[in-house]
Amino acid sequence: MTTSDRKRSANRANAAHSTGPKTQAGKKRASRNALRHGLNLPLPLDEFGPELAALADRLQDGNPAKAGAARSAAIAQLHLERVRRMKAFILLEAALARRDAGSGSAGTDGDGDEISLAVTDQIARLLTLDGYERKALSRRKRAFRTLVV
Amino acid sequence: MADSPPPWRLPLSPEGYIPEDIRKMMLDGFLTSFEDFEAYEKLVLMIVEDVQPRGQIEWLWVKDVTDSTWDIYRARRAKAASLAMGRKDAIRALRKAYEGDRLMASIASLEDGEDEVDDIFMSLEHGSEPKEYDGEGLHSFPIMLERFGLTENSLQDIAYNNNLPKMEAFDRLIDNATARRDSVLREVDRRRDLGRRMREAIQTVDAAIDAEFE
Repeated sequence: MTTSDRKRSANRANAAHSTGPKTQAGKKRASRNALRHGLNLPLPLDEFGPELAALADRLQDGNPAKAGAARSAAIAQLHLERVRRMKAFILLEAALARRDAGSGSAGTDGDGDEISLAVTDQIARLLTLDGYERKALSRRKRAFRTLVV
Repeated sequence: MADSPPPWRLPLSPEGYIPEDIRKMMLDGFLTSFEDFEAYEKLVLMIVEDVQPRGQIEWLWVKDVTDSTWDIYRARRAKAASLAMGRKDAIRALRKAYEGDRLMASIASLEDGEDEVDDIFMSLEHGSEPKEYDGEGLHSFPIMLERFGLTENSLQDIAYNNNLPKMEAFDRLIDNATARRDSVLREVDRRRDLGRRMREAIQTVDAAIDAEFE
């Protein structure tokens, strides 16, 4: 057996142990993974198509040679905006939940406004979204470098 | 206030200077209705006036720098609010300790001591001024803290220590936003003149934000 054969069969054997969730609850939870925020999915063009075309057009600035980079930059920009909107939405939701729960506009102790308290409540999700924001910025940076040469 | 944010007043133009699409991006969901639209608008205008961006890419960079600066501000405010609450918890813990025999004994000999300490704790929790006492009791919170072997800074330290994981998370949020902003500024530096203008604008903004937290 060659090394790659051995590797292949080891991979197969290992993969047999990783067949995903077994319980109904686990399967249900996993089925929602991609829907949690959708930030790993391609931009839905039916929703963003016209906006994407308009932004790409402005970035291209009349130079057909830059069409590809302009489109990549525009896609990254729209991803970036989605992440930023999602952050605001999470904060809004948390602030409204606090308000509805009656913890008051000045917080439980008279310190901190609603958004500060919402940031505190949602800090883990905000840190996760930071990762998506960094990724989108990095994609856009690569595209901008092509555009500004 | 939360249900009806103030109208957005960013000028679409004196000289037509915030392009419609950038203005729309700024309007479109970056701020929540609980936030201070006027403060964000002021921040945008400070940067725009100093930088005078030209072209779509420069405008997008300006928006990045503005948004990251706002993220930093948001996180710093949240951290400060959390520390203020932690400080109150520290005061409550101190009060509990004071109510224990050991610390009671340390001030029991003071004229008006117990009443005054009680009053100081009450006023600290409710944010009012403590009453004046004539005796040789405890005339101020720092003096009272001193009797416990503490200082104002100790309370801050206790608050920080009791909320360490949260404080670290705030710091990561601040660091992430700062890193995003620095990354954009490095890109902008490739366009030398814009980079200089952008850094100058940011220094002014940061100085104003720092002043708020000092």
